[in-house]
Amino acid sequence: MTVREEKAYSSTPLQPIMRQGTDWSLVILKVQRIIGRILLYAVLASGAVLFAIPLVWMVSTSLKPDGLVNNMPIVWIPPEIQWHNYVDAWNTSVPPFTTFYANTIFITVMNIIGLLVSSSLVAFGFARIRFWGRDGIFLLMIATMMLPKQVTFIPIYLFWAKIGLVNTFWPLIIPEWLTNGYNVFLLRQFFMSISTELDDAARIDGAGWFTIYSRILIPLTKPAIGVIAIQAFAWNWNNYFDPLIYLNEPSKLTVAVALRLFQTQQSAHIPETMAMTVVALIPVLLVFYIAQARFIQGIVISGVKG
Amino acid sequence: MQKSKLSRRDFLRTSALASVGLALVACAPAATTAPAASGGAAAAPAADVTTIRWMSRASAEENPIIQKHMDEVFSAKNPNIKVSIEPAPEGFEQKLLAQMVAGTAVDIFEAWGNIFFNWTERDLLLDIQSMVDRDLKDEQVKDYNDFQWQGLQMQGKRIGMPKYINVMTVTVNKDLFEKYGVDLPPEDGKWTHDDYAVMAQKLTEGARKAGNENQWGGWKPAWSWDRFWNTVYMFGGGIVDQKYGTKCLMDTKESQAGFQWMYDRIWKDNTFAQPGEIEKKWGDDALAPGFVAFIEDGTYPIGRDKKLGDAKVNWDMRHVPTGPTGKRSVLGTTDAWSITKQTKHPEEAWKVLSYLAGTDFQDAITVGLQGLIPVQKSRIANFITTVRKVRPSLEKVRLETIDELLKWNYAEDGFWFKKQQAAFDLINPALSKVFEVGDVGPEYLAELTAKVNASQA
Amino acid sequence: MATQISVRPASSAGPTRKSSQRRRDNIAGFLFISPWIIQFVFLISAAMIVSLGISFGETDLFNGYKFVGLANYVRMWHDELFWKSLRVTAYYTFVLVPAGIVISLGIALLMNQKVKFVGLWRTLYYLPSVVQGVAVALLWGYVLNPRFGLLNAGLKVIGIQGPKWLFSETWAVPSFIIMGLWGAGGAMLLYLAGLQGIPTPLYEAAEIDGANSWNRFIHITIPMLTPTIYFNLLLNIIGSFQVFTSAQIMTDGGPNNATLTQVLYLYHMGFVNFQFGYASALAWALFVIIMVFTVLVMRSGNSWVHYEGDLKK
Repeated sequence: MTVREEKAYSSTPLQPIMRQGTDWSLVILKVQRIIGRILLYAVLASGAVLFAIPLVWMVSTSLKPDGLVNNMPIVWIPPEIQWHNYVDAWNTSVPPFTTFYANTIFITVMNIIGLLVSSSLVAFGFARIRFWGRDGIFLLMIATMMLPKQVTFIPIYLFWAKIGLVNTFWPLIIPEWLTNGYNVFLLRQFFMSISTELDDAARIDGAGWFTIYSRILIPLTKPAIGVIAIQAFAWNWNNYFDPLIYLNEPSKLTVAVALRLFQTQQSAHIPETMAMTVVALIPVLLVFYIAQARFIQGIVISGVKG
Repeated sequence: MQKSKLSRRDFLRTSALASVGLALVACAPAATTAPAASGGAAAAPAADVTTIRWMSRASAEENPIIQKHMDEVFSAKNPNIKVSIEPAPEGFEQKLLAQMVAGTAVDIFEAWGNIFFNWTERDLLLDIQSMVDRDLKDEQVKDYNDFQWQGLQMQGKRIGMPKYINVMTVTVNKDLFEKYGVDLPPEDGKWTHDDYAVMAQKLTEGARKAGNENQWGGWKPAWSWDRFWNTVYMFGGGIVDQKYGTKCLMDTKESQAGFQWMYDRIWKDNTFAQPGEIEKKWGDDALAPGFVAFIEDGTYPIGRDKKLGDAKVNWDMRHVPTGPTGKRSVLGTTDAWSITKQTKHPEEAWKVLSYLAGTDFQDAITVGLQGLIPVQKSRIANFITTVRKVRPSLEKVRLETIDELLKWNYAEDGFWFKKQQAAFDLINPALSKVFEVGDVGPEYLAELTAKVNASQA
Repeated sequence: MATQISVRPASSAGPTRKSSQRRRDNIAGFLFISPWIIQFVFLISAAMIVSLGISFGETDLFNGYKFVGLANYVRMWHDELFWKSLRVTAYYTFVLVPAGIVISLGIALLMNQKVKFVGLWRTLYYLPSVVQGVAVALLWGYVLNPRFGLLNAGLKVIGIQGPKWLFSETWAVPSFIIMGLWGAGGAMLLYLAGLQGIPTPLYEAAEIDGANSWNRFIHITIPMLTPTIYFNLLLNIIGSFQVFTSAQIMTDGGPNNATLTQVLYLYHMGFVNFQFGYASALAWALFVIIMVFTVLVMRSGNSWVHYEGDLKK
């Protein structure tokens, strides 16, 4: 690694400038660098303001009394900060949010494991093995994503009801364990951007497909695996429709469903809703932060900077 | 690479392991199924206990209290029935329809007019008329308000029992009236739409003179399918010729005058706020931040008094003014509880349903917990005292208005075409064009009449 | 990196070994994709066939089924609202998808720089794509409010009188496009992962050849990212054509059907009007429309998507 970096730094792409005189070119380089940095941070910061507004607004709203929610212009800092909104919201529902979190964590963790295993296997099959009907089946898989859920969920519900699994976590977990087109397609793209020469070499050595899958492709596509884990977490954590449809008992609900139980026609409870939305967002952001640090390291493109 | 030879066996073994894992996990949730919703002091276990599943729209806060009440009070009286609440947030219609297709629908659910109408058309709701005739005394039936009792009879079937009362009044922000030196509407309701327009005008002018560009006289959701027609009625017009009729009346002179009145307030004088100027959906969202001095909207502020209290809005309620014909009309909603047709326990479900619409539950939960108006006329006086005890801020609010409103009997449940949804699908976008966007006048609604008539053929 | 061994392909073996190898590959292939096959056979296929069957009939799902042949599809042809919803959906898709790709790729490139606290920046940009439910609807209500909204306040600063956004038939769809773009951080993640996979030696070689950073971007970064771009393009087309939840929550198709997306329309036809036959026909029409664009993109993909490990090579 170190060798490569050194090499990148010592290479001399700017030689034409250097010829004009060492001091001068160094100054230009430095100024360029500084301007570049300033521009970079300016763009980053202004973008971040746009993208951070939701969080700021949600936190602000969660600390307000109900009566200030609709004020315009927005009251960003409420005169009396209502920390108790968080405690109230957590505890007023029975069962308390602890139960909803336990349910959601269970489902989400199960599904991440299932999705990672199944989608990488299936994607490997599509990306690496030549088998009968492969391209047709792949297109079929993509096609299944093109029919709106609104016309298919009732037959699927019927299936789960007939085998008696409504009001269990099963209808939420099993489909994820059997993968979906989105994740398979994504991983297939990453697998396909890795040269087949490695497979061929391994096969000459007598390695089977499973070895190539587990020993070569998986280690080389760690970032993609990380992406799938992050997205699977966020998707399952926030999934509203399926838990709404399949779970009946209050003690089985997930966080996403419970969040909508503050608001009814008679009671708005926006601050409480926002408080719990903020709390529900934290795990998603934490997982993202940790996973991106783990799977998507800093700069690898040594050439693009400066 | 010593493992390389094992490739396929390896794979098979792994997948076998995975499926065992899957099977193991299968047991986990199944095991947690056992301790179901056995909360509360369980009723004396009877030999045959029927569980009635109730899909409730109440909030996370309220549901547990309601569950407890049903366990402790209802099941004590009816030891053979246990009620189990299943919360139903947004999207519950899809869930319930899926359940109905699968034959596993809850026994009781709650909804409102247009859902009931469409579902009655598909014969999805139990006709409870015979049970009502058998079990309810005449005076009990007469104690319900006409607009609800009649409204819940759809296409010849009685499809539900009223849940609570929500009627439209003029809710005023007294401080703003005082600030701009405008008289409050009279308590006895003796005022007209001309007075109404002048009041909105004065309030708006007052705000402008005070340098407040972001304040208007009033707010009325004329763009909403259930709120636009009452002005038309008061002007002597109509939407459809009769209940479940087919002839659209939006083009008559009277109807057009009613539409014009609303259109002018919103788009000509702008003394009523435009939807884009403030909040579109809820009146109290406009009232709480002081955007408007009054709203013509439902009785939600009673249940949401804390919000208005937080915002320090000093509010009160008045009758809507009469129209040029001397007629007064507002929406009274038909929110109700209903029994699904496929229930396996119609008798037990009816027991629960009649309990919910009975006085005990109405006093304890509808009024005591939710601050809603009970469905029995005889309970209104009691409601006023009870709700003031639970919510002291209502001491200053003239709740007697509601009592009078129900006695004067001017609440209605709206218009019903024979093919209501077909008419809705045409009228809704037009309403939004006239009142929400404002780029066409009420004549657009008159031009629509022929199309609406055609949709009923 | 392992040294690149130039291998003789397995095809050098005799014909019998070749066919037995092919059979084994067939078996292995199906074993690998078996999870999805199970899902398809047990869950998806039946649901799809049922809905296709329903699309040729009249049913409210409860009171019988009457076969009407292609009547629902003929009706669609004459249905103004179908065409309107198609225009709304296409407008939304064909602006949002390319704009989304450019913006999320741009963010990803920024986030791939040597920046202090890069993890925090990334998290911040990712945030909007995972905010859910009630919060989104409320927040956008305040951002897009014509009079007080943050967006128009911002425009005022640069001297522009902002439009009425969700309260205008013209600006309602652009409002949804803006909302969609705000979630660009979700796709940023994919590009970041894609950038990880570009081998550094490629850049080094180019640098030695004197390529400047723009050239390196055009000739290395972009080609190497084409599999990810291709994925985003296809999946966003598939997803955007089915836009539903935001339109349902924010406007329910209004004002005057200006945001009546196709799925919102078919949802309304099914779950409100109980015309599930027509709703299914609308869904299958959408299926065909998406399929046409998907196939077009897939066809074009052969000429611009670059796979290092393409089996077809």
